[in-house]
Amino acid sequence: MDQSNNKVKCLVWDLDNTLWEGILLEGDRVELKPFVPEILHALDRRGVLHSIASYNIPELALNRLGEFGILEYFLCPQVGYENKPQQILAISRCLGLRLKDLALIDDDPFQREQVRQVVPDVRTYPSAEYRDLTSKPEFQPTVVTPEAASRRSLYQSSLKRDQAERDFVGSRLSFLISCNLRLTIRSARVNDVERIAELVWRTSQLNATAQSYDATQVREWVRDPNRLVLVGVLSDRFGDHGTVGVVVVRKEPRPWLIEVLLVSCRALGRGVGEGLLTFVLNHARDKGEQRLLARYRRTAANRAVQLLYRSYEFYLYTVVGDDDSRVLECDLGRGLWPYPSWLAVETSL
Amino acid sequence: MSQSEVEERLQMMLAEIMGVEPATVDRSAPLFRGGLELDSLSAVQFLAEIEKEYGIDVAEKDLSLACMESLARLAAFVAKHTGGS
Repeated sequence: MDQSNNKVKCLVWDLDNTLWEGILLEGDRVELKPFVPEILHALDRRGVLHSIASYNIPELALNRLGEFGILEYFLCPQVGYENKPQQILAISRCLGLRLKDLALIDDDPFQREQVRQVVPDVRTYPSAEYRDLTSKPEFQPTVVTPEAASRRSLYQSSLKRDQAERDFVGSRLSFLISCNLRLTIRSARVNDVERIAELVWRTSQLNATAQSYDATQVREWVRDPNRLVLVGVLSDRFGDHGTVGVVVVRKEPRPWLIEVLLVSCRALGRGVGEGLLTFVLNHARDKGEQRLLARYRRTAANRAVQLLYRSYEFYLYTVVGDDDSRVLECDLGRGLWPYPSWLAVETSL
Repeated sequence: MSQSEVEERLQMMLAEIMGVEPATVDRSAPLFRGGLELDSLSAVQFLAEIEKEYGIDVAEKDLSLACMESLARLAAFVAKHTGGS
């Protein structure tokens, strides 16, 4: 398997005798193991998220982490009486990560084995290895992007908005409007290349062609005068979400063809795909195009993009090969498309 | 399973996803542009709910999703494909 797909996206820490020496509930005055804050920080900078799965009393444990000054590193900490597999499942749901993206570090071989049997995709490490984690390949990103270093705060913004959504009493539309979603659509520059390549292999959901493109390929596209490469940068009242969408349009030979359309899994449901597609449709129409084509390959995971194209009246133009690939087409004669009402869009080409 | 029963049920399901009163969801309006303006993620959720309730994967059975013109048309499709015994 391609090594770049084996990275740990979230490291889940046990507490007693793993993150700290001693057992909190037994009255020990627990102390962090040596180098723990540096290790948390180093992994955090690389875009690895941290969480906690611990059998403990939430107030006690979380307060203690706060006293150590490291509580902020941990997203969706699971502290309580559920078993480890349940806690890990809760973390994977909360962060929208697959089990194979998670790893557990725990001093107890019983717990590690339970996790290995019940949620086998989750990697496990004995706590004795905690100092070695930073040098293991699965904890090294292929590239450190500025986005990677702020991944935790992007998740925190996103978790805040999820909580706001749960607290909101009203229609989905009025909730979306209240979020003050702002999408900036602009031409990709050379220093967007790494982030675009990262987005491509991180997205498994709204990726229209479900293919992987590396940075070299992306760089070629950005430099290609026959192609339009646009990024969508999103912010809302909860914070900045960074670059969350990409679209690549091949302009020659005509008709224009959307080769790539993808949105980060975490930014689904905000209208980013709609915003990017609306822009491309209207832009093509402005330039005198009468049809717009789009490449699309149906997978179990990209239903959202299938529905996106359908909602914009793209229909089958031709089938390509035998891997469920299609080219869709949209008739541009039906007039301009408006942006979703809840989305403020700024564009610059 | 009559079409109007399915229509009423789909109307309630969609109203819940949209967070509005069922009566305000126009059954004959376009689901997308020029009508209910459903976004892609809500549409995915809607089809998933339909599959859970009726056991039919609409996107598998209608690859072009032509039946997603309106709630009424979608209900007709669902009613037709969950045949009575």
